[in-house]
Amino acid sequence: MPFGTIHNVSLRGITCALPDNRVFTRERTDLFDAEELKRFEEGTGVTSTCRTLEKQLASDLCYEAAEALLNKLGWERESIGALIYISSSFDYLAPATACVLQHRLGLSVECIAEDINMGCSAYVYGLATIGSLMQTSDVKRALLLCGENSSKAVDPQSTSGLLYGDAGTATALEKDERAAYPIHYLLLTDGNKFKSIFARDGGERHPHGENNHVKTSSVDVFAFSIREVPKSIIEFMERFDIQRDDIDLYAFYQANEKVIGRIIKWCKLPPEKVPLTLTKFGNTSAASIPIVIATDILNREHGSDVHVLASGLGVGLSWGVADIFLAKDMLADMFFTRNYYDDDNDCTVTAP
Amino acid sequence: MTNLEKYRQAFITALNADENILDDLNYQDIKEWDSVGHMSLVAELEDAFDIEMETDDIIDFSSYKKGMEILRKYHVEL
Repeated sequence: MPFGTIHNVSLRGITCALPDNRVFTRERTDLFDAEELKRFEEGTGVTSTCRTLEKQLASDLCYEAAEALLNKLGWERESIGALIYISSSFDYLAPATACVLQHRLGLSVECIAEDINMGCSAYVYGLATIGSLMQTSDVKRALLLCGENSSKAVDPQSTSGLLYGDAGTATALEKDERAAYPIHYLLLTDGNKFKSIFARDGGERHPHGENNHVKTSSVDVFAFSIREVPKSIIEFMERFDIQRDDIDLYAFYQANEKVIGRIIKWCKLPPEKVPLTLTKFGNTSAASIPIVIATDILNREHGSDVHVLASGLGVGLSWGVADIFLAKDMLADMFFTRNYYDDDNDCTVTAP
Repeated sequence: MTNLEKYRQAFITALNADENILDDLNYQDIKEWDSVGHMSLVAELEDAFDIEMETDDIIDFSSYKKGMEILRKYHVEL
């Protein structure tokens, strides 16, 4: 089992940028009938999503989140040694979106910049990857950017068009010799299920096809969600000797309310420690877990550290579990934005 | 209400299914019986019969008829 432990790395802040375009499920009568919308809302718990504006991309949301975070932390741009962008939404076929973000954020050429292509498991994989990189290099500060622009990737006439919302997040990490607790992780992948969440066309194998919407085989994903996720959470907790009461916040990917309900039931978790953000924001894929954490920190009374257990499953199929310790002074923020990048003029523009 | 009536009512409530098609209904035969509808159906059945279904049974619950077989494991006679 690929379990891992990262020492001496602490999280300093999480910011989330949401598109300033909230769409209510019950109002989508242009594409769905009212009965269907009611059933969807009751079945998933999703009452609204935030959807990117016409020219807004996932990287634009991550950029806004990172700008706000760096400014709040007061971190010098030159001090950032690594930037990892994780998403299924990329600006161009080449180069990596992380390179564009490194430029836009004004980071140094000595800042490692790379992309990882993942969905709902992004945050767990991202923490493991960036933490491992920090532990084995001179990098002292790093940015993990997880975002998604699913509303433009799925068929708007399918129920996926109702389920997915868009968001961009930034997490700041710093080497910390005094970190009280390590980051633990467990990462898993079942490539046999690579067609379970699938965008067939547009890549090199099928460059000219028309099936470029992401299609989800709900049977496979559903079965995986309720079978593998609880199993992995329990194995993870046993491996690292974590008791249920030790955890202050269970930050899960936001698949749907009933799937999360099952995970709570089978893992015997206290429901009050498993918040749902999909109600307002839908399934924001790569951004889901940081949104859950930031929302919880913003709602929490200050003065205590927060021990988080995070888990996500998505495209791959890949899934993972991690636990992190957040100090009581960790920054959290969430805001809406209409900004996007005008690459012809190399500037940020606010949509009307 | 008999157990069979409760069983049928769960399909009608959770999936908005027409009572006349229930006997031959399979998972995904109607658009309402997708993964979201499936979880709603399981929730209805668990409430109606005061049971808690195992993961494998929820996944194997592939049709109206198969569901009757599975419920017997929970001592629900239809």
